[in-house]
Amino acid sequence: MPHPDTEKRQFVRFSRLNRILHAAMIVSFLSLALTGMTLKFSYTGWAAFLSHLLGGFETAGYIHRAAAVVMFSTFIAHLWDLARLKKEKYGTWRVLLFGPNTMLPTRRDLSEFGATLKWFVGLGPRPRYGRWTYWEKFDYFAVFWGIAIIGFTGLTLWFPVFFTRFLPGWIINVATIIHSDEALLATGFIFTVHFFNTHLRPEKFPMDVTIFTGYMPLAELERDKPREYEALVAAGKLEENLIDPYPAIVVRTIRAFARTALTLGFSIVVLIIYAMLFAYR
Amino acid sequence: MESGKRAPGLATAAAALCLSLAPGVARAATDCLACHGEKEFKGAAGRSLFVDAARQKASVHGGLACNDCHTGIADYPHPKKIAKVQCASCHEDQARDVPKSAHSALGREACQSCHGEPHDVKRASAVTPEHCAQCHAAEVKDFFSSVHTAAAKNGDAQSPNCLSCHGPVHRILAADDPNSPVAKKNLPDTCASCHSNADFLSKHQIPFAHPVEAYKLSIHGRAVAAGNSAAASCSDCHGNHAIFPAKDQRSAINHWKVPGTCGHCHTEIAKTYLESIHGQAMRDGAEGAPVCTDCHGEHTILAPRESQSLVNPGRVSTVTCGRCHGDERLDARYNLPADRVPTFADSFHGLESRAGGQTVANCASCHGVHDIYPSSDLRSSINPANLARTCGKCHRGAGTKFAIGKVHLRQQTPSEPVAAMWIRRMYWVTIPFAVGFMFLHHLLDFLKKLRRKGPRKESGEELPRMNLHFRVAHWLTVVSFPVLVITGFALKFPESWWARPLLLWESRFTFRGWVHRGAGIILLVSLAYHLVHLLLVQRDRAFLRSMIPDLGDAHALSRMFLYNLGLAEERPTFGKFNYVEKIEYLAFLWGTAVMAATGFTLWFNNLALRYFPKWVSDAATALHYYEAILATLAIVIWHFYTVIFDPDVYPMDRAWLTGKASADHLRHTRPEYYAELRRVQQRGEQEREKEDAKGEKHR
Repeated sequence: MPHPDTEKRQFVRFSRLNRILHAAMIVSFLSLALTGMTLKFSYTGWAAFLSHLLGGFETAGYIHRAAAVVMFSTFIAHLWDLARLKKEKYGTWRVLLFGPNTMLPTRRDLSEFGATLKWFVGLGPRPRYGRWTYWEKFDYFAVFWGIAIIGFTGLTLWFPVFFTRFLPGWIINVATIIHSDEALLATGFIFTVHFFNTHLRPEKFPMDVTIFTGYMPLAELERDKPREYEALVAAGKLEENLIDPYPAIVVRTIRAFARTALTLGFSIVVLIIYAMLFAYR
Repeated sequence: MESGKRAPGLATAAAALCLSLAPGVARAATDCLACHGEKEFKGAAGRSLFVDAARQKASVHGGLACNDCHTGIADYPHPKKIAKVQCASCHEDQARDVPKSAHSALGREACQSCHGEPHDVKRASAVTPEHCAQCHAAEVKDFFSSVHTAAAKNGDAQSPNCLSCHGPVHRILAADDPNSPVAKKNLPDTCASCHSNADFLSKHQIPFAHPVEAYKLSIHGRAVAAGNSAAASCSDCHGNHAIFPAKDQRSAINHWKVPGTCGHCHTEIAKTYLESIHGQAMRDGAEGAPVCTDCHGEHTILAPRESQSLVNPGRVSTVTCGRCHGDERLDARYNLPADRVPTFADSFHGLESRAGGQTVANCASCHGVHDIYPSSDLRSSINPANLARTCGKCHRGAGTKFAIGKVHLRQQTPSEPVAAMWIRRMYWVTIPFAVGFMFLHHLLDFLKKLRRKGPRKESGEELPRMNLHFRVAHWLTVVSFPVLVITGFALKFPESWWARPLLLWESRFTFRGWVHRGAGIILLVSLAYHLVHLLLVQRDRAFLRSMIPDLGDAHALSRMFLYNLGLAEERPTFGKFNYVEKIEYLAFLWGTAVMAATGFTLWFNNLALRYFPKWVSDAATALHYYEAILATLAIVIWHFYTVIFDPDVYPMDRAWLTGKASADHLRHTRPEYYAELRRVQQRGEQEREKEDAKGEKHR
């Protein structure tokens, strides 16, 4: 029998900094997507309306660049956090990068991916996932890829004169295409695949707030991450990772923020789909 | 002369032999001039035998001795009969060429007719077009007036002379000789030697890209290449010697001369054109009025059946007619109606044409081709008196019972038929209201369920909800409805990327249309199946009764809003069907009826145009379109929430597949229905027990 209080207590999955960074990422990403998409689909009615609402395309541009700075900062802060973790918790990069809770893809992820496909069509049991599932790792590295590609091309478009001092002029034209279509891919991915993975999976539907509160009901950990749960129990470390849930008012506020972000994301997807279906040029 | 004619080759050979065998026998000219230098020196026949020594000295042959040409003479007195002078003895190649050329007709005079008097032979470079003019006076006069000569006068080194086109000087062939560079078949290549050269074109600022190459791909060029001697080559349009730039009034391709030039061959068409509104306007000096080339192109003219032709049925309306009849400047200048092209593009004819259809009406189908007249003209195919015949070409019987109404229609303009206008207004209110209302309703429901604490305890038990007959009807709808949506909107958005795959074969086979009609039939079959099922199976007929909305539903709706807004404690409960399902079911019946009625009107449009006024078809088009938008949004927003995104049933209500619904869900939301199902279940069990008991007794 678990501790009587364990029923109420929750498992700490994300640190405070991680949650803050994710929230900053949400705010900046939504701002970037909204201001970017109004430019990309400027020929649609909704884009003209939204841009008008944001104060015109020039103002939207300022918002876009400001949000980009926030996102770069988030990214750098995360890298700094990794360095800190290495020093304070893991000791060496080797443990951080190749330990049991690694973010890097492993052979096990490949086999779990295969097993998951089998489970999808009813040919096997659901794999017993660990702390990070293969789709969570994919989502994580998709951000690295996106920041590198969209970030670099975005900088060339922001400072074209500087970059063309040592790069040929066609770089600007190519960067425009890459920035625009890679951004479409990123928004499409985040607002459909990432949203589905985290919020629309039947066991999480309609919303998973773990990334916002940082805490996860213990039963959920046991069900969704059985391997991590068992490892913690075996090491006797479960207890030290449990915490009392936030007061109701805090949870309500957090949920309101999450709901707003989700609604905005889904709305942008609907607008993009509309533009792609009936107005695409 | 006769001996020369008999065997020039032999004489040449003999002369060459003498010269080579007798070195140093050349006689000094002074010896000959002793006699031939006398002005009065005449032969027996009274012919002057005088040689002007000074001119001879100055000629290109000045360096030659007399007997270099007059080879039969070795000594004085020379024989009475001496061999004729043979130019070929030195000019062997030229002499071999000349007899094959058109100039061989000149016989022995051939050489001197161009090169001048025998003792005054001119340097080749001094032989100018003026010399040609001695015989070809008219041609050279034309040539001297042409742009080619004008270029030479301006010091253009590349300007052509006679030989540039007519070929090697001693091998000039008659123009009708198939080997002549100016023969019909060869002329394009001859012109191409300069006019295909990009540097030449840019240097001379000739603003045409690849004129000769374009011509060779054209219907004219291909016909000429295939040996059609009646087809037009370069000179048939541009003239041969009297070539002028198009801006020159004298040019055959000058804007105002084009119909006449084309009319040389296309006589009847030119006559028809000159009578038409375009021809009349052209004759009146309207610069915007089209001449032949404005519609057909110039060097690139293709046959109408060819897909790249400017007058191909699939392109003529937008690419060719639309170029002027959509141009703001021309519309304003000539007071043309500005909406002809967009109204056509919005019509079924235009949509199908944009999709690639080749058999659908284009501008020319109704307005004529070369015989276009204003509608007020009795000869016009769109004159009200002729409209029934014009429409009747495709739509048999159209306009026989009712006059054909307005054709170029556009919504939100006065041209919109009254019926279509009211249908549009009705749906512009209904669609946002119905869809918006349901969206709001479901959103509140979703948010309320989002706030619900903890997952509902699930027993996992399932109760029968949809028997096989209901499911079969639903399956048929599931298959046909999305197909109808995609193939239907593909007509309205023919350029969109998702419509293109459906329209790949449109030029040969109206694939999209037939899939749409096939799916429509399947949808109607599903409805028919459902109705026959209800008619035949008495037990299931209660379904209809439970679908009738009543006051209780209105009450439940308002209480549901209050509950979802947090203003009421209790969530309303329902019987077998809640108000959402009732609305959906009735909306489906209504929508299918509307879509079927309007769809058949459009499918059998010939009958519709024959037995009803045209506005009925226009109204059916509008109704079919707006109802389709409403139906699609109703499915995506109303139905998909109820069966997919409602957290109670997420990820999907599987009743349509398994026929069963979650018992927990029914117990919570429809306690009365749940109790009834339980009663039926128990009764069934009791009956089974009784039967089992009976069986026991019998045994």
